[in-house]
Amino acid sequence: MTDTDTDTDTDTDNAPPATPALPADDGCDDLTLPCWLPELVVTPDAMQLFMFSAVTWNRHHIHYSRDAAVREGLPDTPVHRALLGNYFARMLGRWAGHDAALCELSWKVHRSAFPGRPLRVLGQAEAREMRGNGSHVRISLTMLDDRGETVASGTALLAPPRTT
Amino acid sequence: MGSSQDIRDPIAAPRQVEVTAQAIRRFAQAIGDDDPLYHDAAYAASTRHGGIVAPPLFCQSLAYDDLPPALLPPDGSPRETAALPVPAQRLVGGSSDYRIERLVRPGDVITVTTRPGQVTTKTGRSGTLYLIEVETVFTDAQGALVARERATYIKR
Repeated sequence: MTDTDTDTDTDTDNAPPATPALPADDGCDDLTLPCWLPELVVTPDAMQLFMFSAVTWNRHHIHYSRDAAVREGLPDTPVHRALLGNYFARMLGRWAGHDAALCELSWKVHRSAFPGRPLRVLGQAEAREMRGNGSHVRISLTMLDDRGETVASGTALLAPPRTT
Repeated sequence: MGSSQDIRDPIAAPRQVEVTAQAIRRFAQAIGDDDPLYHDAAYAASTRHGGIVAPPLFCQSLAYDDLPPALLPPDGSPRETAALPVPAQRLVGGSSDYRIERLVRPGDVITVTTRPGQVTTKTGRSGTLYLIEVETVFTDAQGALVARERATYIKR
């Protein structure tokens, strides 16, 4: 499986700047918004699509049979919508750390992603939202393919680490 | 123009699934996440979680029933996406709206309840799209909510 985590310091001029991880001391109060989260680059491959179909027991042929995908008008087996959500979750988890909690994650697929083509997973922390147990962080999400087209977009809500 | 129908009966009876450390380990591998929190018990014990937990979207691995292949649609797509019949065959794209109350742990027995929502139609240049909403609720042995997904599947 090919999986590269790209540090934004080595990325192109268009890359969003690196930001510190979600502060563990007093929640999000020290976080200056808006801020870009470190980008994650993921390249799905056929084995990963197979594994994901297997663990979800999703037998939809479009994800494991290139012939079936081509018959449905696609160039190759598309990445599962559900798997794309996990790429967002990984990017968020890597930034937020183990102590923060992902409360909500929503995403919409705009175009298919395919094995062998790198995906840039981007997030921007935009605002704080008050919930019962404190100030959460609202993050907007974007996933771009290797042609710069939007594969998916969405939003997430992260709860800061508990201070107790 | 669009039309909608709204049915709230479950697609099938709620079912229970026992979560194992192996299932969590495999899901983490499948999504490409090598965080030791998901497979290394000693490491996980040193974190605030106190032990192995599953990735936040782990309930995706419980969402589809183990239906015999003969009972699946011809393309093998999950029954849960075909709860409401529409005159279209191809499943594409869509969206998910996930709420995560807590992370799943080995030994959890999760009850999965799937309910169809609305079907709406959108007619455009490329033909008619059917947007099929499905809600899946995941609860634990105490009846507490673990996660909930509202998904929209698109058929054309």
